[in-house]
Parts: sequence; structure tokens; C-alpha cells
Amino acid sequence: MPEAARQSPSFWSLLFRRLSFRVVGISTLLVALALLAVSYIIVDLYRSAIERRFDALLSAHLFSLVAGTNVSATNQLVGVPQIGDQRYRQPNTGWVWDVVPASKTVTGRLASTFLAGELIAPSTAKVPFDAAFERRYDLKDQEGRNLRVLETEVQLGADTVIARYRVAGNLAEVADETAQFFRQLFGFLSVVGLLMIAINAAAIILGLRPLVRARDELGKVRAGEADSLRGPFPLEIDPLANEINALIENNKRIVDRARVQVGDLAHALKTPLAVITNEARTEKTSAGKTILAQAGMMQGQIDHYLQRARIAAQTGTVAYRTEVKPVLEKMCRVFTKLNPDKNFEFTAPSNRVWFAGEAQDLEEIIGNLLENAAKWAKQDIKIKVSEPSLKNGKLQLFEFFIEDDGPGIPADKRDEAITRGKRLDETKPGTGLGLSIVAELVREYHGQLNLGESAHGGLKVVVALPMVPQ
Amino acid sequence: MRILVVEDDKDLNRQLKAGLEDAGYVVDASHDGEEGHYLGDTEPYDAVILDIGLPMMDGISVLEKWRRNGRLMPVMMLTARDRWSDKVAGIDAGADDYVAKPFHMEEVLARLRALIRRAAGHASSEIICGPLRVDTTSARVDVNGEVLKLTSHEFRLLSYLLHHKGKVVSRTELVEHLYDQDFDRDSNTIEVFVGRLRKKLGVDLIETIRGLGYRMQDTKA
Repeated sequence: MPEAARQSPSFWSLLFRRLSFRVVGISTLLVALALLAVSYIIVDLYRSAIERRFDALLSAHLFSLVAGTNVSATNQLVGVPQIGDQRYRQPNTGWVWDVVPASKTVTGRLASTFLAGELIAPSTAKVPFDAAFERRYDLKDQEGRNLRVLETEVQLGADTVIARYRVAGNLAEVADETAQFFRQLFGFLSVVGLLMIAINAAAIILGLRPLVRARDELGKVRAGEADSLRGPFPLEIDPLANEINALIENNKRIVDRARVQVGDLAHALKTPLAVITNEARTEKTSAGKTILAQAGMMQGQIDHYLQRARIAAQTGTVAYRTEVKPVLEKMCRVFTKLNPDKNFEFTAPSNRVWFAGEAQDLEEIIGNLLENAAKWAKQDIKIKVSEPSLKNGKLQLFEFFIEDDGPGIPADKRDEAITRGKRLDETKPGTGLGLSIVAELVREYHGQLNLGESAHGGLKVVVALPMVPQ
Repeated sequence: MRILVVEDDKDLNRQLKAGLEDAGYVVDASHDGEEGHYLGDTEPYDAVILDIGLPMMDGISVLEKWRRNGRLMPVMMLTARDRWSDKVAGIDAGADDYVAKPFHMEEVLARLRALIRRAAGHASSEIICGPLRVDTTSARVDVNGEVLKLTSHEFRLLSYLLHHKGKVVSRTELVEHLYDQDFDRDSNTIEVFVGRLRKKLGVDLIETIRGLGYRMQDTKA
């Protein structure tokens, strides 16, 4: 898959991944299918009812026809049947009747005025008479109309005097009435269906709102605005929220444990290293020098990998937020105590600024920078937290700077100063790790670190770190 | 100057003790938190080097208990836990400085000198008293520009009196701060050293306050 495609999924794949879309889509589909089935059943029932009524009407017409005809003394069919329905007397209605002999002794034929030709009946073998000696069948007339025919045979006097009576009604009326009903039903069911879909969608969206709220709460935890998911949530979501909170707590415990273990490891390694180093310093032989050099390298490696382990332990952890001002105040107080001959001046904006990270990391960054500043400053060290205004992508950053009146670092040496283990001046004690630790921590938090020249002549370090959105 | 070293690692403790003694300090050593706390609580030390990770009672607890009991001697933390949060915890508990392991003995000595000097209210490593000038870093002593040769005992005595100039320092206090616990406190060694020191200085800066002890004159120049 191309890199770009993997990074930005299409609109449709995003849409199909939405739970609300899926549930609303499925419920819409089910509603549509249910309404289709319901409409089919209703229309079928309606058509059956119409057909029964149609058949009953034909039956009444057939009865009138039978009642209105007879045979003469010569067995000729006679009579003027009075069927009340006007359609038999109008052209092209598809409503016709006829009376024909059903035995050889009967002659003549009676038929409605506009019956053109004959109605071709299927054989009795194909459509037999029922118990009432009636049979019903559909056929097409000469104009191609679909007709429903009701037929009976009646004995008129002697056994052999039998006539066949038929009335035919136009089935198009059944179809028209059914279609009209279907149209009305479709309109009604469409409105009902749309209402149901809307109600369903509203219910689903409302029902999913606790999930959205849980997601927002989790977002706050990620952003450092909260340290756990805060309910109340519905009973179905509550266990999930509790599990997530337990996971967050566990995450913190793991980080704390890792940190303690790193500290223990540091203690376990550095104390014997201190012994070896001190012992080697008293040995003025080449062996002593070698041990001292190797111990120095070991110390560098231990410092580096302990720092890496600490950073690895905290990368990607959640739920940390630290107010900046108290940490800076505390660090200033500590450094004033450690360096009573130096003047630490601290200013911060009136509004509260929260670092989206751990207090220990902020202390580490500020501690290393202040230690460096105190080492080189003649007298004054200034610390200032600026109003938050920076952005790094989605991250909102706050900025603070630490400047001193020391010798500073030339512009061409500043990159070197934040390189691990590089010491620009060997006359002051230190490992050369301070600024590189700061650079590494700032990088882990997606912040920015810039070295510049202070207005007081010394170094100005500007650090931008992510903040909890205000 | 009498220093207490509380460090559980025997080798490191020995090295610290030796390094400090070489620098002219009197050193008592302890290897666990409880004993270290007891010594710091009962003996007058000019400074303490205290490891944080100690058996029986951790260094931070030892320090907090001392401070609660009003023991205000300068304390330098010795820590392998070099995160700032650990250092801040130590400083907040009452420590005055910290040194991260592994360390250079010279750095420990320099910081210790600065701590003791600060505790005595001296900003500079050079203490001046009239014609007398003492550089605590190089242990150089001169009177009117003429360098004096002092033994380590004489220098320790002079240094202690200078760190407390203007104050009356009793003989007992001098014994407590210049000798370790095993010293015979009834001997008249202090009088002998004060006499020798006065003779070498050639100027009358050390007063004898009858029945109370000695006082170094508080003169700047």
C-alpha cells in the first residue's frame, strides 16, 4: 500500500469504520426490509380482498343472469336479463355476459350487447366445476383485456335442457385498485419508514453518546487535562471506563517501578564505580591510569543508558500534567540554597500554565539548565515563563527561558554543546551530559530547545514544551 | 574540623575517610542510617557527608530527623540517584549540597570547604583576620605576606578558630571538633597547640578567656 494511502484513509473507509454509521446503516436496512415485507403482505391481503369482492360481484351478476333467462317451449333460449351493473351495457368495459346451450336440445344464444365474438373457455378437465357447479377462470378477450369469468350450467326443465351461463368482469379494475392502494400505502409507509429511521438514528446517536464522552475523557487524559476517566457512565460502559482507569493506573505504576529500578541500578553500579575510580586515582601506575580511563568510559555509558532507560520508561505514558510555576519556584529555591552567592530571578505569567508531562521530567530539564547556568554565571540567572502562544502541529507549547551573565557559548559551538558527553570547557566539573539530557527530553516531548545569546552577555536557553490546552 | 561520613559501602567509606583525613579533617565514619543518625544527633560535627541509600534508615529520613531535632550542621548528600527529583527531595529534606556518584575526591573536598565556610558566614575561600590571611582551599597561611609553615593539627586549630572568629570557643568544643571520638579529652594537648600557634603567628590574635576558652579576634584588616 502506498505510504500516503496508509496514512490518510479514504472518506468511505473512515465512514464505514464509524460505529454510528454502521449501526444506523444496518438499522435503516432492516427498517426498509421490514417495511417492504409489510407492504407486500398488506398489498397481497388487499388484492385478495378485492378479488373476493370482485368474485362475489360476478357471482351476484351470474345469479341475476340465470334468473333473467329461460327456454321457450321449443327449447330456445329466451329472456332479457336485468343485471343492475351499467358496465354490461357500455362498450369497451370488459364486462360481458353470455348464455349458450350446454346440451344439444337447446338452441339459440343470448349475450350482452358489446360482447364481440366468443369467450373461449378452457376445458372442464383443465378447470373443473366446483361443488356448486361453478367454475372460475381468467382469459383474455379480443382486445387483450384480462377478464375473470364465472361460469355455471343450469338445467332448464327436462334433464337434457341445459344452458351455460357466463359473466365476465374486467380484472384491470382489480389491478388498478390494487395499484392505487399500493401507491397510497407506499407513500404512507415511506413516511413511517423515514420517521422510524430518523428515530432510530437519533436513538443510536444518543445511545452512543456515552462512548463519545468516554472518548473525550480519554482525550483529556492523553492531553494531561485529567488523570482518569470521570463518569458517571451507563452500566454497559462503566466496566470499560474502570478497566481503562485501571490501565492508566497500572501504566503509572509500571513507570514508577521502572524509575525505582533504574535508580536502584544506578545505585548498584555507581557506588562500586566510585570505589574503583577513587582507588585508581591513588595508583599512579599505568594500570591505575588504564583503570581510571576505563572507569570513566563505564561511567559515561552508565549515565547514557540510564538516561535512555528513564526516557524509554516514560515515553508514551499518559495522564500527566504539571503546573509549571511551582516547579520553577521550587527549583529556584533549591538553586538559591545550593548557590547562595548567585542571584536567581524568576518571573511567570499570572495565568496558570500546565506542562503536559511529568513533574520529574520538568524538574530534570530545569535542574540541568539551572545547574549549567549556576556553574557559569558571574552573578545573575534569570528565569522567565512566557505567555503560551506557540504551536507545533496540534501541540500547544509554552516557552520558558533561562539566561545568565556568564561567558555564554559561541554560535558555532552551540550544536556541539547539546551533543552527548561533549564538554566545551573542562575547567568546571561535570559530565557533559546536562544539556544533552535536556535536548533528549525536550525532543521526546516534541518540544524545542534553542541556545542563544543573553542580553546580559551569557547563554540564553529557550525551551518550548507542550502544555495542557487552556 | 570534624566530619561525619555516613556511607554503607565499606570501600567508599574508607576512601572518603582517607581523603578527608589527608585534607586535614577529623573524620568519624558510620556504615548505616541508624548509627549515622545517632552520631549526628549526639556529636558536634562541622559537616556531614550522607549517602541517601543506607541500610536501617535511609539518608533522607536521617536528615529529616536531624533537622527536626534542631541539628543544623551542613550536610552534603552523596547520591547515586542523580535525577533532579532525587536531589530536590534531599535538598527539601534539609541537605545543603549534593554530590553525585561517582565523584572526584577533589570535588567533594571543594564543596565541603565551601559548605563549612558558608555555614560560618564566610563568602570567600580566603579568611582574613588583621595581618593574618588563610586560604582554606590551598591551606596557605601568611602573616603580613609572610607564609607560615603549620602542622596539620595547628592548621586545623587555626582554621576552626578563624571560622568562628569573634566567638568564644571552649577547650571542650575544640577537642570535639579537632579530634575523633577516641581522643583522650582530659589531656592538655589543646593548650600546647594554642601556645605553638601563637608563637608561629607572632601576632596576638588568639585571646584566652579565662574559665571559658579561646577567642579569635574579629578583625577584617
